[in-house]
Amino acid sequence: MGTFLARRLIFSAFVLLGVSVIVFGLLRLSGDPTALMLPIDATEEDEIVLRRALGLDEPLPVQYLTFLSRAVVGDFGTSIRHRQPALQMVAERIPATLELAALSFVVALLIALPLGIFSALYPNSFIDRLSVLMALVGQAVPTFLLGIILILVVSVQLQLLPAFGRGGIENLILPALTLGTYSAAFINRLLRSSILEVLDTDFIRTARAKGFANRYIVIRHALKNAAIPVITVMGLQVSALLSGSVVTETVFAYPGAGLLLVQALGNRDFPVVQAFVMVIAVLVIIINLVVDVIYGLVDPRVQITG
Amino acid sequence: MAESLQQTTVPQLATPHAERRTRPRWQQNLFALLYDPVTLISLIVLTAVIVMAVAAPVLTPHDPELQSLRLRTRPPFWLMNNEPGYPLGTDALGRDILSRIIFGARVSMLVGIGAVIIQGTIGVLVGLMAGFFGGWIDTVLMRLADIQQAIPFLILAVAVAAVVDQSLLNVIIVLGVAGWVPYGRVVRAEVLSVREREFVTAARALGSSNLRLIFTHILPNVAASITVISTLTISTMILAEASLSFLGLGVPPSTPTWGGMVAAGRDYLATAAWVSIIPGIAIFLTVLSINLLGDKLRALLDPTL
Amino acid sequence: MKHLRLLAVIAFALLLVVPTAAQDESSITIALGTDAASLDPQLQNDAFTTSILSNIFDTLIYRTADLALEPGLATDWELIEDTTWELTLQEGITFHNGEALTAADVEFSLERPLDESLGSPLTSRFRVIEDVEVVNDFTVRVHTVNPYPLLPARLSEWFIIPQDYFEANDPAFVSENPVGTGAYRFVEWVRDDHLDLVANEDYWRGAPEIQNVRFRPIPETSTRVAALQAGDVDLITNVPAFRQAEFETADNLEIRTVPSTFFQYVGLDGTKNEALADVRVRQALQYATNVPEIIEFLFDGSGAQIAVPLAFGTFGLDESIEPYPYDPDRARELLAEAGYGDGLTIAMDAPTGRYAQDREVAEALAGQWAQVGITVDLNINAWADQLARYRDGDALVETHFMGWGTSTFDADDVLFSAFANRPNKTNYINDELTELVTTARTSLDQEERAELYGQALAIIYEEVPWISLFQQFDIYGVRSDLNWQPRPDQKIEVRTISIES
Repeated sequence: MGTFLARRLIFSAFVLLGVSVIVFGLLRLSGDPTALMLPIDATEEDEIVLRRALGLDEPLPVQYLTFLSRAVVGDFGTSIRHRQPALQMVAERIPATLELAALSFVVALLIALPLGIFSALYPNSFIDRLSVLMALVGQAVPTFLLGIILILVVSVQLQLLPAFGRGGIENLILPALTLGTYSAAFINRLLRSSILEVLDTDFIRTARAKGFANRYIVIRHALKNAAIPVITVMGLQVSALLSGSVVTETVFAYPGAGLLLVQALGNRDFPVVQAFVMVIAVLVIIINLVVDVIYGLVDPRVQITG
Repeated sequence: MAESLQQTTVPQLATPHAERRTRPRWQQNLFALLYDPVTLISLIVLTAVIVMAVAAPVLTPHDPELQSLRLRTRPPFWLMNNEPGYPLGTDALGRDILSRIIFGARVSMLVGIGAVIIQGTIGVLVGLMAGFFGGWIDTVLMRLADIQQAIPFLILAVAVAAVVDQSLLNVIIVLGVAGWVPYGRVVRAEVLSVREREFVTAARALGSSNLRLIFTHILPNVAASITVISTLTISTMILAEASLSFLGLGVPPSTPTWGGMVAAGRDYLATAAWVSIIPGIAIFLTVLSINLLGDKLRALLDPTL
Repeated sequence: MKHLRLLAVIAFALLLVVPTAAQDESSITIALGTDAASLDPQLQNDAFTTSILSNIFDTLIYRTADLALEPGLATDWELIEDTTWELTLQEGITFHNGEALTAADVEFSLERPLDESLGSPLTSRFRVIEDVEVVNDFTVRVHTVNPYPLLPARLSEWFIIPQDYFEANDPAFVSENPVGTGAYRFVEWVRDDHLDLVANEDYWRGAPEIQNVRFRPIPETSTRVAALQAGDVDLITNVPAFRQAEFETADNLEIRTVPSTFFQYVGLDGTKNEALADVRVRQALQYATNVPEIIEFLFDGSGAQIAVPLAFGTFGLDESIEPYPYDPDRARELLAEAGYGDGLTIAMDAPTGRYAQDREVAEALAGQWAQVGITVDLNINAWADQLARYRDGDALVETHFMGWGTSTFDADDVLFSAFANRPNKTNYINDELTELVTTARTSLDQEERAELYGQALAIIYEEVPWISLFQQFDIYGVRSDLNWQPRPDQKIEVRTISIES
């Protein structure tokens, strides 16, 4: 385990390096922040002056090395648009997005777990069909459409919950529902098919034949085995939630990291996007590490390598 | 061994090929499939979508890009004040929604299937190799997946849109390239658990080559997961296209896509809901059908059955 | 047992859901399309940010809602030489931190953006300033590099900042903690969430009626409208034109509109498509453009057709010029004469997500031009991409759909950089026009300038280097009991708002 972690740590450094090169390159391809800042009648000379002041006039390799050498010590530069430290701007947004992600994950599990288990236990029954259908409704509607409809119905018509923004839990309910229903369908279906698969394996059949007809035991066995793909997907979802809540946060004007990303990208605010992606990269590395370790714990047949 | 190989070559969607199989189990399954009303309805919906996609120019009553501002946001036939000849109403530029739905089927299916083929191919190959060979290959591939996963696909989409003009092909490629990681990880995870099973170790002991092991023993066993993910992601991709349109990074707007229509119509939800809701229903039905069918297919493909 | 616990959690969650607290009478919440970029007024060039900042900072000269110039922090301004303006400051004005406003602050405010290392997007605007001379505590002289008739107009845009405060503090801190002389003091800013201001009781124009203001950014239009309808906010910007009807039936909400300073046009580049070098083709395009139809059906009437590329109320605009009529037959004739009777294909760059229904306008133009045989190859670009192409100039295709907002309300703002400057974005060269506009630029005789612009516009009208489209209306949604009228420059001056009791 110790050497495993040590090796992963070394490889992680390479992952971060790879991410930084790619993001830096993609961003420079995406345009020029000064174009967006200047008045419409600005001349080419004005652009050159502004680029020089912002350090965007240096050759790209020099800019990259400057970025890298500072990033190593945690300095991701200053936001071009907002003139604030980029990393701090990202860090300020993480709690809001984590709150949203956590609650939507709870929503997803609340929907997915019972539905998934029920439909796997009674495959092709009415309950199964209904649960598949329910899970699918959430999955088949574009996120932004669901969000806007929820706002129109719950906030405008019924006047039950605020339409937007961050505040108490009442502000979180609609966005969490919007975000959670999508993951719910995914987890529900994966859970169902995994449990079905496990229920069909020899050892469960044997267990059943031996008279362990107790559903509870079956579910426990099945869940444990079905956990692998589900954990994998959950791992994917956590990082996807962080950057994937872009649409939901935009619809609900929710001041999380996703909204920051989409706006920083729109403004070509390179330092903020770079800081954002490096934070995500670190999270992805940690999550994947945890997922790999959990594999080993859940399914002893899996040897941890790499 | 031979049996499982054949099973994996069955195309992802049910096609007439399957009927030529003479194996009793297959026949059984197929009959079950066709007698199941849910499956049948799904099949009908999907057939309709595919027919729309293929024969769009013949089926449309109007040019999907022809606009008439004077006819903007006319409601569909079941509402008051509708315009004869425009059964599903018109959008914000007075274009015929029915015609755009029909043409949109083509684009949306292209996006969905195209992106899934790209990401599936990359992801499954990576997952198989990583899981089967383990060691440094696994390490390198999985760290590559980490890199891909850490880069929000929006950045890729923004960069591509800036370098080349927005187009259908670019959207497909962006979605395809950015989406292989889930396949890679799930397939790898499955392979990890399959490769230690008795029948694989037995085959290996009998001297099977790696390639043979992967494609005859491992792949069939992870096919169920791949199918589930693929069907789910076809719909995910159709929806992702909608999200891209929402963020202004989608297919050029005069090209009708369902996602683009929903996105463009969202501002009208309070006043002319059909502009957005009707393509939303098209997406809903298609996604539902694909997923229901994918579920059935999973049962058929699962070698443990 | 587990279920019980779950139920308890849900019940608790529901208990926390309290109805939105009723607004107290002297507080309002205003929802804008985006948040402020920076609260350092010289490090941003953004309409919403300027709108917020206009409550915290003042200008030397004040632009009234009907576009007249009147005293602001300066009681008087006078041209004493061709390149020298003398301004007299009001005495007894203090910044929110207690610092007194003096000529040194004015000097600092006008010279700071000239420091190129500051990275201000506004540097180009200030470059006309040669030097600011402090005569005494309340008198300054502004020396310009050449005779500059637009200086009073510019001084009505530029916020005056406190020198000591800016010099004593870190730039990152200053840009999040603004201190001005305005009607409201800064309280708190949580980016993309809310920005709070409180009334400045010592304001030199008198304490404002509204005590507390909260600005909230809501980028998604439907959400912004919903937030107003749900009662979460009291005033919103950028209501889509087609949603005005909803407000007619609502009992406590209203629409307030004002013609904006923004107009839209299509630039034509004859160097990229030789057909567009032919004046007949350009005129044909203008004849083939049915602007009234776009205004009526896309904007529900909320817009005004323009005859030449200037917004109404702009100095130098002869408002009696009639726009080209919509005449597709005439367009076809002209095209045939020019040798394009069989049709013509032109490419167009158009933005999405910037102006009201921009994408739809571009598509509508393509549809209208198709009727006279012109096929438009439409490139819809995200705003950043469109602007990058625009800046580059060479990257633009042969036509581009854009909007132009003037802040000086002077013809020079558009005409010089669009048609006289070389290179300009449509590569349009007309020596006579260049001469007229360049002369007007440095003339201090307003009558002469008006005359010169009249001649310039006659050429533009005939030559059609741009297709003139329309001037948008800014549409605000408000609580009916708010006494407030919008300004044409998008500034929301909260001190002018009061609540009917």
